[in-house]
Amino acid sequence: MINFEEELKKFNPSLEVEEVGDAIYNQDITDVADLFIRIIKEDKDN
Amino acid sequence: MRCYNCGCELSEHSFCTNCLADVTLYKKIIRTSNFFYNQGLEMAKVRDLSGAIVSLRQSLKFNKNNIKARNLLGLVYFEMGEVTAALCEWVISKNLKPKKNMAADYLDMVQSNTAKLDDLNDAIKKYNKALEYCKTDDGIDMAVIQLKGVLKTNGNFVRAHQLLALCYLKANRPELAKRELDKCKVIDVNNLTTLRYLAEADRMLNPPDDPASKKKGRKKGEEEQTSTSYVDGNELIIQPLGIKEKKGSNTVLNILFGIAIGAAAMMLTVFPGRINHERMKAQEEIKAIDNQLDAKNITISELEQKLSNATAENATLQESLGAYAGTEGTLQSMENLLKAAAIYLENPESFLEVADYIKDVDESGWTDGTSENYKRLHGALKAAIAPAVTQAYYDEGYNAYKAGQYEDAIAYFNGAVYFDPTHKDSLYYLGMAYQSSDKKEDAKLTFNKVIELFPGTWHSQNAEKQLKKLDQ
Repeated sequence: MINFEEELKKFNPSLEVEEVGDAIYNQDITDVADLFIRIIKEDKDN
Repeated sequence: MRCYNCGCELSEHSFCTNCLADVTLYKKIIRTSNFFYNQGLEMAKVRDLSGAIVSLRQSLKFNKNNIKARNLLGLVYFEMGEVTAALCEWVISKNLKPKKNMAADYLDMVQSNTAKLDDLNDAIKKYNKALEYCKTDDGIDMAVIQLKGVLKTNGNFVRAHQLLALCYLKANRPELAKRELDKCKVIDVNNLTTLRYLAEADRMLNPPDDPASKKKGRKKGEEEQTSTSYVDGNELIIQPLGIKEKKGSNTVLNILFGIAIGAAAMMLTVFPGRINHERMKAQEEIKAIDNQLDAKNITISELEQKLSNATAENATLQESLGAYAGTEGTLQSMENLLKAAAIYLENPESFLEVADYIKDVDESGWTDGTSENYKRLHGALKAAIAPAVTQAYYDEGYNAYKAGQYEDAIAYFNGAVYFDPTHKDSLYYLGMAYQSSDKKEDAKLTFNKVIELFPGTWHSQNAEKQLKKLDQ
């Protein structure tokens, strides 16, 4: 049996076209490769 | 693949041939990213779009510069109606690789059609509004209206379909929810949310067989659910429940019902035609009767006219016959003339008796059609007895005049003048008799005739004197 309220919580508002720029700007696109490089650099520095 | 440290192209070795940096782990990270990209691509090819999204996002988590994965993620988002998410991925992709990037083409295609983009943006706003309505207590109906509007503009918007299906499930309309979810399944075949909602819709449409609940349901009656419904394509089919095909005696009723329907169909199709036919036939007969009646009326009019003419002719003939048969008619005149002739032939001396019959012959009634022989006989008899009759009448008249019997004198003198208009004495004494009997006008006329017919005679001289006396 589906709980309507619980299911509703899984639906999020969709991004509007005007908000695309802000969304991109605020998006954290850090990937595993970035983390790896940072770790390597930090390791070298130390 | 390039070295993360110097950017040199890496070889098959586990280190960079340029800077000697260890790239073993880095290569594994990139390969993992590519693996997820390949997985996502395979899923996208079989329309497992939600699965593809998961794989492609994994790919980008390992390597944000995996342009193919990012562009494909944008395409998958766009296919699912997530326009803004697609735009985000393509914009980032274009920034990461400005040249030779399909993302630029995708962005151009979307942004070049501003009207379509505006519509899609309006659809997103409506979706968000619908989501707000859903969170209110009695906003399901409003949400449904908004979501239908959204799907008219953006038919592939999977989340909108799912939310609409959820609203229908909430409103206990599983058949409509199933219809929306089937559409979702066409777009994204393996969406977990879709599958869960479908299972719920199926459960609501086909409740599990529970003997206890079945008995209970039967006891409570079947009025709570008398029909089931399912969606076939775009059609919602509602099938009544609990109706069994009856056999046996009902067959007879069905046949009778069919006969009744057939009779009704006959009434509606055949009878109006027959009625019209009969009506037209009756009208034609009435028309024929009208024509016959007109013809008979004309005949009657003609006969009436003929009767009228015949009546008039009869009246004329009767009048003519009366004229012939009357005491003073032609027949009587003819009879008088024949008597006069007979008497004269038998005894010429009886001229006075002959004269009486001759005077009774009506000469004024003579016409062009009167027999010439009749006229000749009349003239011959009159001429034959005229001298003797005139003299005899004159003598009798004169005696009467002398005796003072003026009326008798007038009659005799008129008889004498009738037989001989040139008898001077008779005409003169006729005037004298008129004068003596105080018939002045008749006397004047008679004296004027004397003066006119016998000038230079004593008759005319005395007549002038008498006229002068009458004028005094």
